[in-house]
Amino acid sequence: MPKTELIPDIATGDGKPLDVGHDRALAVGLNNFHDHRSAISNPFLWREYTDDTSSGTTEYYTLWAGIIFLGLEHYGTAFTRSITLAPFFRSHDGASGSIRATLVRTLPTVGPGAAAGLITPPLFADAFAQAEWTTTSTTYATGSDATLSCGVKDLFFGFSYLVVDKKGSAQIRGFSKFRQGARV
Amino acid sequence: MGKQHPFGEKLGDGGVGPIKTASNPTPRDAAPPIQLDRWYRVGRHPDANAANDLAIAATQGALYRPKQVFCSPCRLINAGVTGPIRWRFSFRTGAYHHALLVAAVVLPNSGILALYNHSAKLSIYSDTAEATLVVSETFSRGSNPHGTAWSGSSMDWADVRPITKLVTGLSPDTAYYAKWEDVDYGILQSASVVDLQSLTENNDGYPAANHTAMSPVVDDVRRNIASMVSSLWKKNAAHLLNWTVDDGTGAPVTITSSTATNIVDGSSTSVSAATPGFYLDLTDCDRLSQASTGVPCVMKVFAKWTKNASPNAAGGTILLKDSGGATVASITDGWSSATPVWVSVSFNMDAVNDKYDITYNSDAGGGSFAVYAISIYMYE
Repeated sequence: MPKTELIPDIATGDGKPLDVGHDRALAVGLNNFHDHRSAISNPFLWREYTDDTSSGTTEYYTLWAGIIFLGLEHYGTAFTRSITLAPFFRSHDGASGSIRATLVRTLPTVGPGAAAGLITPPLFADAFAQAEWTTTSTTYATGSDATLSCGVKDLFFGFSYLVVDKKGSAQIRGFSKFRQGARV
Repeated sequence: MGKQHPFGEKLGDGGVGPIKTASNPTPRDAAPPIQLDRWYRVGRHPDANAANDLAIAATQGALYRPKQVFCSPCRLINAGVTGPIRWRFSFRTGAYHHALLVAAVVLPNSGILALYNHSAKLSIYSDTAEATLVVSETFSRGSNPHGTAWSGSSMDWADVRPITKLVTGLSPDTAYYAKWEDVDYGILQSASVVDLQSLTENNDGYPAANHTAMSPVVDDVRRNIASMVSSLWKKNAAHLLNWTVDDGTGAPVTITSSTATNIVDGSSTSVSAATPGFYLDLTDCDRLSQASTGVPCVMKVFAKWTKNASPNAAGGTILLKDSGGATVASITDGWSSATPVWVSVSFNMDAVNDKYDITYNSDAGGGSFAVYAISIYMYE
């Protein structure tokens, strides 16, 4: 994609000639605004929280959650957008630990038969997209990139919920990468 | 509650500008990128479809691509802290600002039920010392979440309640300073703040998108778009990041050392792949004229500096460093008071995808530097 250029005042006005170059510059600027300049950027890292509670080695238990805005536009079948994200995490004791991130349209619920409480495996009852990372390293590092569809948001306000679960010995400070991609 | 319509009030009679419409002509279905080589080349006649594509892209860019200026995914179990103030951030409204769309996720306090409304409060100030309140809004989840008989049984997902409101009273293209608080024993778990735009309130209508083969080719068609492209590009670019302490205990992160130290882990003094940093992708966020200078950005930091025994008059330094350790932005000895205040700096970032670490340090004289929050966004 060419670089954006803002057209000069002489390009528009009474008696000013129509210039295809200026029209093209307008289109380039709008394309770049939609795909790059307005792309949602929300990396977050907490100083206070390096949670490793709610342990379980066979199932995921929720550590963090948050409401996130993914844009007011709707996506059809022709193209969509995605979020590229990566956690900043480690294993706190060298045993295997996993982090799972889920973007989900509505809040999870307590699974059937599970006791009430937030420290239970969450049940995602609406459209969601999910990624997992696993490590045994005790040194904090940024996980590999994962992409989650932006289609899993509510259609009126454009909000989605990010639910961060852990399994085993994982410990997390947040997501050092969280950015929306271009239309594809 | 404020205005209910997410895109502003209806235009009054006679309020519509030239080659504009009073009603929104664009669907919320995302449009594809405009095809450059199909519509714009030497020798091709002006095309009505191309004019419509420009109008639709400009309107959708303003209305459906608003910037999220704050978002805080956070701890769910044991959410909240013991004091009222939680998070802070600074932001700048867009060129066509109409209202903030705010969603607060509030948990009840299981120990105190019937007497309180379990709320969160957003306060927005116009000055850097948080002295001039512009608007505040309370997000109440109500009392007795489990009925009056609930006596400390476990909360579950049904208690996690998002509350959404429109907050009005701000001006377009203006910098503000905000803080979140827990009120009435509520526990703010997470929040999102979005800067909604209105083309009826700030643009005299929507650029017309109903051109046909017989429509006259008039100057205002592209003048409307040119104005919007410039405003969107300069004023409505994405907010890049917020970092904030969870300030309920009144305990910002504090340093007395003069060695630049990573603000997230409080220990790293050099930049590496293992240090906590923020990945920011500014690819194609620069203009043709900015190829050698980079993308204009603003960094704002809420902090205080206590002199202690320092002979210096000011202290407190914040550095933004790229993955190679080079300083991209800095506020050096920027604070002189033990009362916290927002201090800002304008700088340019390379239009690349890179990891950025934030460091903080005090002066060499033994002063104490305390940081509460940092916000970075593109502007101009």
